[in-house]
Amino acid sequence: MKRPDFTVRVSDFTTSIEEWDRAQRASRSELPNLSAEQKDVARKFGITEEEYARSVLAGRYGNERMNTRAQDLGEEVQRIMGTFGDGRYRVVAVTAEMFKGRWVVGIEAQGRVVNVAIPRELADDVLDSHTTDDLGKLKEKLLSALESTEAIERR
Amino acid sequence: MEIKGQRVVFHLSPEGRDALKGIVPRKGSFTALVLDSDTFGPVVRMRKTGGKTVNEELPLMFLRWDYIAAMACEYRFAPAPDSRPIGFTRE
Repeated sequence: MKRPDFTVRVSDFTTSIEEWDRAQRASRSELPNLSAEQKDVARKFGITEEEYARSVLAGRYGNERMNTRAQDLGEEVQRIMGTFGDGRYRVVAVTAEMFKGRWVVGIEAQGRVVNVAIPRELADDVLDSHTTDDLGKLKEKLLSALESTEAIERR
Repeated sequence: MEIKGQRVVFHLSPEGRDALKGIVPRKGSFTALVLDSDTFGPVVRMRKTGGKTVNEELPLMFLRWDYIAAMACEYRFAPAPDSRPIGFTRE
């Protein structure tokens, strides 16, 4: 896969049902070693280390997918901003914040970085369905974030 | 906090263990994937028991929040997005 020219940060990530089931089917040799803290949680909650390790493996599958999605989202945002004209805006970072249910896209505008929060549902719709409605909503979101920032700077 | 899509270790309350006897392990602890949640509780996928084919119906389970005594999930720290400092700057 081509390396993006922006930073991808995945602090917390989600797991899909397919990844969950795939991890449940994985052979024991594929299971990751647990850290001392993970073993401690398994022991305190009274579940086996294998059960916990399968959950960790599902998370790793999810993490890989989230990295790809971060890259896809960043490229989509960059493509949309290309329609704003003259290459003034550039994606510099995409951060997954799934516990907050959002992505944060860092956009360099006139030498400054503006962070735009994109709700997870909107990003999912854009990446999975790719309908004109979803793309329109994302474009509106980006325009509104960039315009409001510039308006503040003009004061 | 949004737990949709998170892998969670659940520990049920005594009431939950009693209500879900035979459905969850006797000790009341198990891992599950949270597919959705609302004010009443999460919908989860527990450990897979059979094969999966396209269009196969997958059993999911709804848990009531008041059946849950504790939950454990994982968080990985990553650098926060870059941000501009707040305040006045000297021109």
